[in-house]
Amino acid sequence: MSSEFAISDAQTDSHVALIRIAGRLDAKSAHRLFSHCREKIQGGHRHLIINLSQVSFVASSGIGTLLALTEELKQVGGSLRLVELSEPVESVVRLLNLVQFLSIDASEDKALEASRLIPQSDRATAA
Amino acid sequence: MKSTPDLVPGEGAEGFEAGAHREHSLSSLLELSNELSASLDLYGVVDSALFNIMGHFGSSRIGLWILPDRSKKSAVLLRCHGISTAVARGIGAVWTPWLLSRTDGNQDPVLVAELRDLAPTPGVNLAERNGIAAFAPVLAQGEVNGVVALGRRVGGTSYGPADLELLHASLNLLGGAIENIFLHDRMAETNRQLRRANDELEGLDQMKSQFLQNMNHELRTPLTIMIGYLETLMGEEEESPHRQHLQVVVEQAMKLEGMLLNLLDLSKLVKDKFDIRATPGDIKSLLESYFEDRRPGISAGLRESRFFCTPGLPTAIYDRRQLVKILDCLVDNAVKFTPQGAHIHLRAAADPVDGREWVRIDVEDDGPGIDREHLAHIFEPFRQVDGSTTRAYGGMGMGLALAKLLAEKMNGSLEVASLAGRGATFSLRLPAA
Repeated sequence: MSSEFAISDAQTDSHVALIRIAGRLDAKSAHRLFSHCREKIQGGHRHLIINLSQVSFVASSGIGTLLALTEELKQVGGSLRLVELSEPVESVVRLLNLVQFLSIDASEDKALEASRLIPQSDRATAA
Repeated sequence: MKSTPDLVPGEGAEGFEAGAHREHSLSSLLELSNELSASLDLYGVVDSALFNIMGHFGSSRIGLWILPDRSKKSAVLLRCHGISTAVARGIGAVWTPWLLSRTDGNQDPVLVAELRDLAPTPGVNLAERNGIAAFAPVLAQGEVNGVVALGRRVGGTSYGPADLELLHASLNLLGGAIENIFLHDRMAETNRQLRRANDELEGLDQMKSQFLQNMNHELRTPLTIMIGYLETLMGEEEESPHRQHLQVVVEQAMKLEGMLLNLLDLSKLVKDKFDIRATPGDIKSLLESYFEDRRPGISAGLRESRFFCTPGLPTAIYDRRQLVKILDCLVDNAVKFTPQGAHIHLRAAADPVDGREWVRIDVEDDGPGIDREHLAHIFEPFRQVDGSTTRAYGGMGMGLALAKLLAEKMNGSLEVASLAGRGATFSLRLPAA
């Protein structure tokens, strides 16, 4: 697993964006991830899916960024779903007891399905 | 992730898990310390710190208000995550004045739940309704420079004393980083203003030099014509009773021309556009001849003058014309500022300094001397001991400035030593050949 941070858009439609990240999710890369997701939200995406399978290390700033994005999307009637958590991510998520708060899926397909199942009207009223 | 162990941070976590929590806390704090020292971008630093604190405590909401001016008690919302800006502004309006005006001087974090138990207020209700669990001051060297509102833990547990201590430590780091950025920004702004002021001064200086050159040309041209006609008149009026008056007019016109030339020289020297042709020469002969020329004038003013020269004076490197200008300035200065009956001495000697040979020429008087305050500015152009000397003795206060620049242009130096009431010695050093 490479330590260099990389971010890529795997799949997007007008509402759902699937983002894959790899490497160290530290303060610097957390900024990049946050800005990238903000762009998606400002571009009209209300449902973001982040694949974390290639994340080799997650710092507190990385976890904080995921929590902030989750809260922000909830407040606009959207969602952030995390998929395929790598072992370093999973251990911090467990340690901080974040499982109930974060939406975690075992695969990208499940996350995409869950995101698309949320009806448009719910998105509007949830805001 | 299939199942979740029932971990409750801070409560009942023992053994491996308690150790993992401690390790997480320490690594978060270390990470925060590294993040904050890496940048001078205020918003970048603040975001890093807030995300770090959120990740550290497992909270999805945070807000930061900054005190732009410590003397004022109003804070400005700088950043919020997980709380809308409108809500954050409302919370800030209620909570920051209260936190900043705590009369007990307490700078510890405050738990909203504890305040609710004491007395439920609209502020407590507002914070709880929006998921805020704690407020804490941001500190820099013991002074409050901001306030943070931290949301509840999404894992459900409340914050304990150890959490509040860690929050306090984290916010100390953030406060220091914010203070450094403010200091850096203020310094950068001050430097920018100084650069601008310097640019303006340089522009003014160029304008002044240009003005001096133009004025010099415009004044000297008619003056030269006047002197020419006056000399012609004097030749034609040899027997006239007005000849003596004409002589005074010519002398004064030539004095004025000399001052204008000095002004032009000074302007060129300051702009480094002055040509010096320094060559090795017999300095002893030059000084003897100079002294003989000047002695009658000095004696006529009822000052005693003497010339001393040590044997074996080495050859010096100088520009003859400019050296005479320097000597004229120093001797005129001595004559001007000493009373009748004073002594003015010209001394020349070899003067080795740091393995290098110099010829030192002193112009020494036992006049009133110069006090320490004015000594420091004596070589600044257009400066005399005070305005009254200009009226009493005349001159524009540029002679010594010109003399020093000329000395330096010949790779020499000009210094002064004086004590009020005990005379003054101007020492010119020229390089020996």
